[in-house]
Amino acid sequence: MIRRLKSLTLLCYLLQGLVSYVSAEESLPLSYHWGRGVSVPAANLNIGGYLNASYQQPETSNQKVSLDSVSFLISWNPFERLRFFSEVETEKIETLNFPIQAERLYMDWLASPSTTVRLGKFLTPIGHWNLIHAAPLIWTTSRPIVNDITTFSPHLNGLMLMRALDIGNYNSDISFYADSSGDLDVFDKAPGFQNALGGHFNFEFSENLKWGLSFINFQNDAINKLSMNHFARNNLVGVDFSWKKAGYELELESIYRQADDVQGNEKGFYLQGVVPLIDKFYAIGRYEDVNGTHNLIATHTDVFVTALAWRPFVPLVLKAEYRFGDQNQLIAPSGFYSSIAMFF
Amino acid sequence: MKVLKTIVIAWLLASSVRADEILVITGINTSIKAVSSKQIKNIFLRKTLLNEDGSSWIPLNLSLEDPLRRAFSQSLFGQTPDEMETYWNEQYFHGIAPPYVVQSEEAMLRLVADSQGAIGYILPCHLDKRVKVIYRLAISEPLNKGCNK
Repeated sequence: MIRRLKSLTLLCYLLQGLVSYVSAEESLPLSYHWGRGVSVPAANLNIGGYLNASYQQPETSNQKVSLDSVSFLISWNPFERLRFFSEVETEKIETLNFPIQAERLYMDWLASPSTTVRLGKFLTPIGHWNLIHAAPLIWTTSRPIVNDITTFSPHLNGLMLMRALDIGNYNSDISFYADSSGDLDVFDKAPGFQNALGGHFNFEFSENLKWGLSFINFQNDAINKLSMNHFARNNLVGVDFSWKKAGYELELESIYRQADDVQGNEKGFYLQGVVPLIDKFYAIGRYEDVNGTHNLIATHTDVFVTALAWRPFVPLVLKAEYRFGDQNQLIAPSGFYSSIAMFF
Repeated sequence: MKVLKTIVIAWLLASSVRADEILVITGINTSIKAVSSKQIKNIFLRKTLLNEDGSSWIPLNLSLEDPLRRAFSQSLFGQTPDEMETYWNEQYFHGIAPPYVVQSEEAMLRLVADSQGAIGYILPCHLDKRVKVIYRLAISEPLNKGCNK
């Protein structure tokens, strides 16, 4: 009886919290903005997403036109300190046998104004690119080698603690995480981590100038093992830097990965610059260098990407690029790549 | 005639004020007394979601074209609202929505007064007893904007 009363009291407190939170925003109407989704303030719910279609003509294989992905972004804040977020993605839609999977699915508990606890499936915080890898956010159709899915898994499944640090007038934050994808992400068939431990530090000199440090110790999962020692662990450290001003951008990411088996060691970086042209056209140039064993291939690869992007509206981008290089045909084939991406 | 001239001049002065600061406001019932420029930035960038007493901040914005919004954005972030859209694209990907947009300073005043945790900004000439000022944002170029709500 006492237990029931306690449960009822707890439920009343929860409902009271929900009602008082909703009442603060209930006067704001439901709205839709292109590129920002449907917002339902009274329920603290937002549903939107993005899509990406591409035409690729690599020199080493056939040309391909595809609707690569449609992703739905769903965020819901049922309580002041609690928010749920999910990115549900479908890929290879033209095959009519497309998988639907949760690219991200997590819960954030705002323990204090500066501390957040994240639980679930979320993006691996290494560098900048992986955290904003959605097609409408990035400038090129192709992804740099140093953060492609064969260098490290883009996702983690586990727990992450994030804390904003008070360093004078600057923003900075630090996060630590523990992953157990091998046990938790049983539905995802893509190669990923078996388990991992790591951290990320981000420092913002201003809204325009940021740098970060990353570290991760991980074991790849069974799908990725091939002839490797299943229990071999990798250590990866990364440094990233980005600067943006008036349409100009400069971005650098570098990594060094070390493993004790045939996965070998690998180091590399990319440097990408963006220059605004006219009428919302942008010119992009990227240089990449990778030296070591990438995805079990020993290589010293140089890659150059020259690209043009047009952003006629904030949520929409059209991209075209030519990629070429040296010793790149196996891991980043030369060719023409183009795409159209849009937030909805 | 002289009286009429005085009235016209007074009316013109009252309806078109050259403001050199923007007032950041919350409801009179919030316990927050003052905040720093960095805190204001982080609240409007939605990097800080909770205030010190653990309740949510609900930042409010005027529409993109509003001169007051443009002056606020330029003074606080050093960027125009259009330039900030790149930032909001990234936040959208992470499930963080930009501040709610209201159509007028009067709407902002009403929401700030009625909603706990709401935070907005107005011209000094629109300040009234429903809200309290927690930060005065100096603007580099005086803002010529009518004082009609």
